[in-house]
Amino acid sequence: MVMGAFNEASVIGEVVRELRVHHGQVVVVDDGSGDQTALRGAEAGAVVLRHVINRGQGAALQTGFTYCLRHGAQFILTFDADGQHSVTDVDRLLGPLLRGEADVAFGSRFLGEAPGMPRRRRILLKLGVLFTRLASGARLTDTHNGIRAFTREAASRIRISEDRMAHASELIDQVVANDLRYLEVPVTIRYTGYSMAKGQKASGSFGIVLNYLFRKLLGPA
Amino acid sequence: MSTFQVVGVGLAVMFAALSLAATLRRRLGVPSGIAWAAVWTAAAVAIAFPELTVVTARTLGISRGADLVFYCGILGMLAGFFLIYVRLRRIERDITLLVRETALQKPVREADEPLPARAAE
Repeated sequence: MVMGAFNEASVIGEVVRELRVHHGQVVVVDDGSGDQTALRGAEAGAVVLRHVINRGQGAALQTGFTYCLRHGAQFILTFDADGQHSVTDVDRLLGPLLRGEADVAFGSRFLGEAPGMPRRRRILLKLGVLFTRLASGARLTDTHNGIRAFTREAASRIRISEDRMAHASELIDQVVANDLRYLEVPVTIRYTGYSMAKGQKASGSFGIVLNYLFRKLLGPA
Repeated sequence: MSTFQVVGVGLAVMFAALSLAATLRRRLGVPSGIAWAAVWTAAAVAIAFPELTVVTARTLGISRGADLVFYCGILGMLAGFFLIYVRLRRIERDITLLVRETALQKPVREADEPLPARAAE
C-alpha cells in the first residue's frame, strides 16, 4: 500500500492504522511536509520514506513503487492519505488481480458512490475522463481516482515521470501503452471539508493538461 | 556609421567571439557554440548594413527590414523559451531522482524497525 502524503499529520495516523488492521504493509512517502506527517505515519506503524523537499504526488508514488518493488511486493495499491477512500474497497480492488483477471484495477467513484461530491467537481472529473479517452483511448469512467491496484509485473513496467498531478493521466497512458489488462472497480469516496480543501483545484486543471501535452510532445522528462 | 552602429556592432562581435571562445574551452557544446556565434554575427551584419535586412526581407516577401528583424526576434525568443523549458524539465527530473534516492536510502522508518518511542507511550 503506497500513500503520498503532504502535510497530512492530522489524518495520516488514523488512515494507516485502519489499513494495517487488514492489509499488510503501508508505505507512506512524506512529500516534504512541514508538519509531523512522517512521525505520525511511523507511529501508526507504516514504513515511512521522506522526500526532503516537495516533489509532487506523482513523484511520491513512484518513490513508493520503487521501494515496494525493491522489497519484493507482489501487489501494490495506491491510496490517498487524506482519508477520503474506504478501507473496505481495498479487497475489491485486489480481488480481480488475485484471480488473474487483470494487471491493474482502477477505483471508480462513478461506478460506486461519492456522497457529497460537489457538482463542479463532478463536471471537472467528467471532463478529465473525456480528455483521457481522447488522448489515450482508455475507456474508464473515473480517471483521477487515487485508489488503484497493480500487480508487481504491471508496477515494474510503469515509470511515473510526471511529478505532479498530471501523473494520473500518465499512469493510464502507460497502462494502455504496455498492453496491461485493466478494469474498474466501484469504490466509495467520502467528501469531507478536509479532503475538499486538500483536493485538486479546478484552476490546476489547465496546468495538468499543459504538462500532459508537453510530455506527449517531448517524451518523458 | 552612427554611434549606435559602432556600439552595436562592437557588442555583437564581442559576443560572437565569446561564444567561439567558450566553445573552444568546451564550456559550450559545438552545435550551440556555432549557433550562438552565427546569431551574433548576423546581428552585427544587420546593424552594420541595415539595407541588407531590407533586401533579405523583400526576398522573403516581407515589406520592411525592421519587420524581418522583429519576426526573427520573436521566433528566437520563442525558441529560447522552449529550450529553457526543456532544460528545466530535465533539471526537475534530476532533482526528483536525487530526492527519491535519498528517501530510499534513508527511510524514516523501515518495516522491521520498532515503532518510534512516542507510539509506545
